[in-house]
Amino acid sequence: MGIPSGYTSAQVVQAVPTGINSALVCVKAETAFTSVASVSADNVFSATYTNYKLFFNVTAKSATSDFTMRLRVGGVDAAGATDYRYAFMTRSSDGTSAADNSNGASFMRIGFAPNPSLVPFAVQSIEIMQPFQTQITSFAGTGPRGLGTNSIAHETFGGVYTPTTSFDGFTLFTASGTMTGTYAVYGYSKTV
Amino acid sequence: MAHKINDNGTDRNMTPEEETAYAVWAAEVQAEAQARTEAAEAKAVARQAILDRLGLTEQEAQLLLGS
Repeated sequence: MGIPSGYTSAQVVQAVPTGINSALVCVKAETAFTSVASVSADNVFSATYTNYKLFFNVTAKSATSDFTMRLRVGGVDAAGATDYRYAFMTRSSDGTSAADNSNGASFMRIGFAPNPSLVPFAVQSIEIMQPFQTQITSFAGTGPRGLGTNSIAHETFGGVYTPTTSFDGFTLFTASGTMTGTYAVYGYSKTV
Repeated sequence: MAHKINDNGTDRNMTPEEETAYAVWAAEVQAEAQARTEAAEAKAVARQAILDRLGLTEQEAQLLLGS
């Protein structure tokens, strides 16, 4: 069967209850980056959605270093010295644990450094709550990263940006080396 | 060598201003990572000192306390 006019997929939806619409709407198409130190996205957040989901998939990295993130508005990163607070935990498949936290940092931690020479991957699913509203912005994320030849670590974290600033974008960042991968952003529908 | 940024989907070299901001940010993240490493090492040393005082191996401690 061909794809009907006006559709981009041949998937068949047999029934959709009245009043049910797609809950997640892509607001930033999957975007590739290659051998970069940072990734900036502008005009992603708007009044249309309150909460968002960001997928950050790193498939290659040239050095072992942490991933961090800052919110952004008008093309400028929010870098107040103590504006971000986070708690970060990781548990590896080989049984070790690690944690990190901060009551005042200039960035949001979103990932410990994956081991680039062994299993070069890290995938984070990050919820970003009310970044566009003039409210405190909250983060909650989780995902695995390569640790050793046969091991992985699972990371989970939460945090806030404490000033009540309205943001329209973000920057993803690695402190050394370069990263290659993709990201995409979705807005959670807030109407039925 | 100039660092690269993906600017809304386009990979390009950072501007001088972006390079400066990148250097500051990188220094902050690396300092935080260094502090974290040193704290973990200090904790491991303190833990080993207690185990030595109690005459326990690391494996015995894990059985008692969990890893």
